[in-house]
Amino acid sequence: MTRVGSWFRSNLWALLAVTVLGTGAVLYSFAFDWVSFQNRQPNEAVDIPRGEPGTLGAGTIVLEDLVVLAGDSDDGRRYDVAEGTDVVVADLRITPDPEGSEDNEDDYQTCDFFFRAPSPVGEREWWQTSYNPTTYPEPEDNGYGCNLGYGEAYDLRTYFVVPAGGADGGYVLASSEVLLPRALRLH
Amino acid sequence: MRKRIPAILALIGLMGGALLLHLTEPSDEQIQGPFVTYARFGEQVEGRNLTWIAEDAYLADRLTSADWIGETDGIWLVIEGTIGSRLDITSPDVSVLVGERRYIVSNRPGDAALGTSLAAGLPQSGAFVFELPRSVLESAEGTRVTARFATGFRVRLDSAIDMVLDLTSLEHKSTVALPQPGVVTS
Repeated sequence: MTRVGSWFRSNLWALLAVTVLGTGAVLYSFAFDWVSFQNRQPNEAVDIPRGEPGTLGAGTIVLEDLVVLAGDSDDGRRYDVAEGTDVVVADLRITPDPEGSEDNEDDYQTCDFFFRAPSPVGEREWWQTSYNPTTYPEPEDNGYGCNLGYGEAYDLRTYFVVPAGGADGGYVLASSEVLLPRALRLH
Repeated sequence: MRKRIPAILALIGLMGGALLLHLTEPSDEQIQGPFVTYARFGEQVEGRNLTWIAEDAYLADRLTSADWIGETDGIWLVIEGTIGSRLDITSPDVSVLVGERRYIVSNRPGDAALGTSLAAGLPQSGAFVFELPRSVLESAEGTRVTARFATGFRVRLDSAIDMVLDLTSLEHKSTVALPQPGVVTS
């Protein structure tokens, strides 16, 4: 035992080096996947209060209004919201890069809108619908899609269908694949 | 020489350990394979993002819906149930494994069968439909078929819901009208 102890003592630095290098090798092998995965999540999202502009890339986005049409309510029935669902109506003001140009391909920059809300199973996420799922009146001059790259400022009304009560405590997430992990949480 | 005995023993131990590690090392498939939950009729099971309740499974020679008639030289396997997404939008990837062969859910019924994307908290009920060769009914493999409900064709480090079926014991119907898929709200 004494000899073994003596051997460990005399090789202490070598054993420490093997332990540290082995642990480092394992961590290193996971690091790339982890960093790459984290960089594809909106981990650096910034909270923007209602009515305030948030900068995403070279453009700005303002959540001007957020209305929840509950299916099981007078408004829901009036606007044909499907029973058991709520429809979140988000009014956004998008101001693209004032210096961007349609002629410059590099200036082209889109973004996506999601609605996220807490739930007992974790934060849930819904994509915007590509159409108005209700008879809730559309603005006369409703924009289309998210263009942050160039052009005039415009209004965009977008919709999210969520389960009844699912919108409580929710927010609109604005993100662009090329700008992640930066994003905006519009409350 | 005696002084070197601990070093030699340590070397033999490390080499033995390395050999043991090498022999018991899980394959890539095992390391990255799915975390499987098994489903049974009438019970809700949950994966990371999918939920599934199987209600019925049967075979049919012919399927119909409002605007589709499904004729086949093979046989239809129909699995009725309710599938949902827990956290975010997902397109369920559903397939049936018969021995080494894998059959993906049929897209022939179009909107008359399940398979479209699911929004979080808005489960859909209806039927998944598979077009199989009749020979599976006579094969030994047909007695143990696995239906897999997942969020991708090749599931890596994610959950999957499996359901084991004996095709030879399922009810065999001649013509069946598919139930119209729809969102289930509580």
